[in-house]
Amino acid sequence: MIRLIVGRLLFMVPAALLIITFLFALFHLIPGDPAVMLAGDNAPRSVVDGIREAYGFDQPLHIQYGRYMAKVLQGDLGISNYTRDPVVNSVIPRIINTAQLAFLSMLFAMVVSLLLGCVSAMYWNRPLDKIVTIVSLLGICTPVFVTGLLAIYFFSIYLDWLPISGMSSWRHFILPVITLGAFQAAVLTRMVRSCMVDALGKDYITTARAKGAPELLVVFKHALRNALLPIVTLFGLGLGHTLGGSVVTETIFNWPGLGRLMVNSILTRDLPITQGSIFFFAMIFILVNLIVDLVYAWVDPRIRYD
Amino acid sequence: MGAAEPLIEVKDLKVHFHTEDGVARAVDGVDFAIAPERTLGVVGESGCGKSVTARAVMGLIDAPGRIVQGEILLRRQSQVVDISKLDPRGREIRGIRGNEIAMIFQEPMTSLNPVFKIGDQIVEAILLHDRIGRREARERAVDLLAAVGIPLPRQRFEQFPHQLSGGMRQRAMIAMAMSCNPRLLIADEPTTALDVTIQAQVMDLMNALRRDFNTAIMFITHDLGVIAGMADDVVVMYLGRIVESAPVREIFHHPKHPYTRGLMGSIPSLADWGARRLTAIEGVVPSPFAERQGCGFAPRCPHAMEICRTRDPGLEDVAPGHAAACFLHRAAP
Ligand SMILES: Nc1ncnc2c1ncn2[C@@H]1O[C@H](COP(=O)(O)OP(=O)(O)O)[C@@H](O)[C@H]1O
Ligand code: SF4
Ligand SMILES: [Mg+2]
Repeated sequence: MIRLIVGRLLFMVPAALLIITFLFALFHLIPGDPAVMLAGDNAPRSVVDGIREAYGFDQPLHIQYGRYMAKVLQGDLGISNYTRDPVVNSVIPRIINTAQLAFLSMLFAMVVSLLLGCVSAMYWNRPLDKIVTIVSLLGICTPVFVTGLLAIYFFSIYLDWLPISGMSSWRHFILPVITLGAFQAAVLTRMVRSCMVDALGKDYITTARAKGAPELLVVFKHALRNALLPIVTLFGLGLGHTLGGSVVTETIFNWPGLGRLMVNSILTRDLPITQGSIFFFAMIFILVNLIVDLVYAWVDPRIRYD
Repeated sequence: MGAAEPLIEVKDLKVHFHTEDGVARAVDGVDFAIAPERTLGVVGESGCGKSVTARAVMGLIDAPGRIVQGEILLRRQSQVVDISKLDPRGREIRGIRGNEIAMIFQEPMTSLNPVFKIGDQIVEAILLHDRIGRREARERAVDLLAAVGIPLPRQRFEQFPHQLSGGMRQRAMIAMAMSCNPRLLIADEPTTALDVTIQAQVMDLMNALRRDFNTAIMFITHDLGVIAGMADDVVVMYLGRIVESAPVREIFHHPKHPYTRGLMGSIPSLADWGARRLTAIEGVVPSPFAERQGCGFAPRCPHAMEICRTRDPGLEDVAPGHAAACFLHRAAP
C-alpha cells in the first residue's frame, strides 16, 4: 500500500512536466508572433521589440523552453496581459470557486446515483427499475445548458425562488449545483445500477442469503461493498467530467470559476491566463486520479493487504 | 429410509424456469426424505437438477425460477413448516436458512465475500440467528475455525478470502455453515472444485462433522465414488427426476437402473484418477426444455424397449427400500 502511494506520487512528476511542455508548445504553435500577441495588434514596433527582448522570444527555442520550465516550477506562470497581475493570483481564487461547485455537484450526483442505482438493481426489470431507467436516460440525453436554462426559467423566473447568477449566498449554489450534478447523477445511476446487478449475481450473494441475511443487508452490505470497487473509479471519472463540464455551467450562471476565466481569456487572447487555467485544470485532474487510485486501493482488501 | 420421523420431506417437487427459450423443467417431480442425523447422497450428471433441488430446500428459488408444485416439509418438535409455501424474502425462511438448514457450495473461490474478513463473515452468520454478544460470537467463530481444521484460527479470522487456499476457504465455508448447529447441512458438490488430495481432506472433515455434530446431511455430487464412504441412502437423479433410490450398500451392490449402472462404470479406478470424467454413458443429458415422452433416459439407454418411448416408467419398489424407474425391473410391463 505504501509502495503504491509513493509510486503514484512519483508518477505526478513526469505528468506535470509533460503538461508544462504541452503549454510551452501551445504558446509557440499558435500562429502569429508571440510578442505581437502580448503587445496587442496595434502596438508600435518599438514596444513589440521591447517585449520580444524582455520575454526572451529572440532566444533559441530550447533556451526558452528551459526558462519557461524553470519559471513554472517556481510557481511563476507569467503575468496577465490585461490586469498585469501574476497569473497565479487571478487563477487561485477561481480554482476555489470551481472546486466548490464541482465537489458539491459531485456529492449530489453520488448520493442520488447510489440511491437510485441500488434501488434500480434491487427491483431489476420491475416497474420501479424501469421508471428510474427512463428518468436517467432523459437526464443523459439533456445537455447541461438546456437543464440550466430550464432550471433558471422555472425556479428563478417562473417561481422566483432562487437567484440566477453569482455566488454570494448558499442559495446561489442550488441551481448551478443541481444543473451540473443532474447530468452526472443520470450517467452514474446507470453505471451504479449495472455494477450492482453484476454484484448481486455473484456466488457470495447466494452465500449471504443462505446465511439468512435480510435483503437490505444483502444489497447494501454484501453487494454494495463489492460494487464500490468499480463505482469508485466511475465516481473519479465523474468528478473529472464535472470539473470539465463546469465551463458551461459557470457561463450560464455567471459563476466566477476557473472555466469561465479560461473561456474569457481565450476570447480576449490573454494567453498567459489560458495557459495558467489549463495548467491548473490538468493538475487538478492528476490529483483527482491520484485520490481515486488511493481510495480504490483502500476499498479493495486484495490491494490493501498485499 | 430411516426409521425415525423424517427431518425433511420433499414431496412431488417441481421447479420450473420460465426463460425466453421456453420452460425448463429443472426439477420435475422429486420425492425424498432425510431422517435426523442421516446422510442422503444425491447423485447425477451436471444439469440434472441437483442444485435447483437444494436451493428449493433452502427457499432460495428466485425469478425466473418458480416452485410450481409440491411440498418441502421441515419437521420441528411441535409443528411442520412447508418451505415451498414461504416467501423467499420473508422473515420465516430467513430464520430457517443458516440456522436450521445451512448450505455449502461448489465454488469456494467465489462463495466467500472478497471484501470482508473470514472471521467477520462467520460472526455475521452467528449474530443473524443467536442473541449473543459480538465478543462471544468471535470466540465461537475462532473455535469453529479450529474445529474445521484451520491452523492458527486467530490469525485466519483476521484474513481475507484471497489470502486462503481453495481448500482452506471451503473449510471456512463449512465453519460458517456449522456456526448455528444446523439440523440439516446441504453440501452442493463441496469437493468438485478442489484438487484430489484436498478433496480427500475435505471429505474426511465432512465425515468427522457427521459424527460430531449429529447433523443430517444432503450431500450432492456428480461422482458416485464420493458417496460410497459418506452416505446412508442414495438417490440418483436424471432430467429433474429421481430414477433410483436405495440405501448406499444396495445401490453399490445391486444397482438396478441402467443410468445408475452407467454412473458406476464412470467411477474412476485408482489407475485413471488423472483422466476423470470418462463417461461410460453414451450421449449427453437432453435439454430440460424438451417435452417428456416415455422414459427420459430412453435416448441413451442400451436396453431401451418399445414401451420405454411411449410410457413413463415411474418410480416403483424393486426390493424393500429400493425403488427404480425402469421397465426392466417390472414383473410384466
Ligand atoms: N437461473 C436459471 N435460469 C434458467 N434455467 C436454470 C437456472 N438454474 C438452473 N436452470 C436449469 O435447471 C437445470 C438443472 O440445473 P442444476 O440444478 O444447476 O443442475 P445440477 O444437477 O448440475 O446442479 C439446468 O439444466 C438449467 O436448464
Ligand atoms: S425404462 Fe427403458 S429406457 Fe428407461 S432406463 Fe429402463 S430400460 Fe432404459
Ligand atoms: Mg449443481
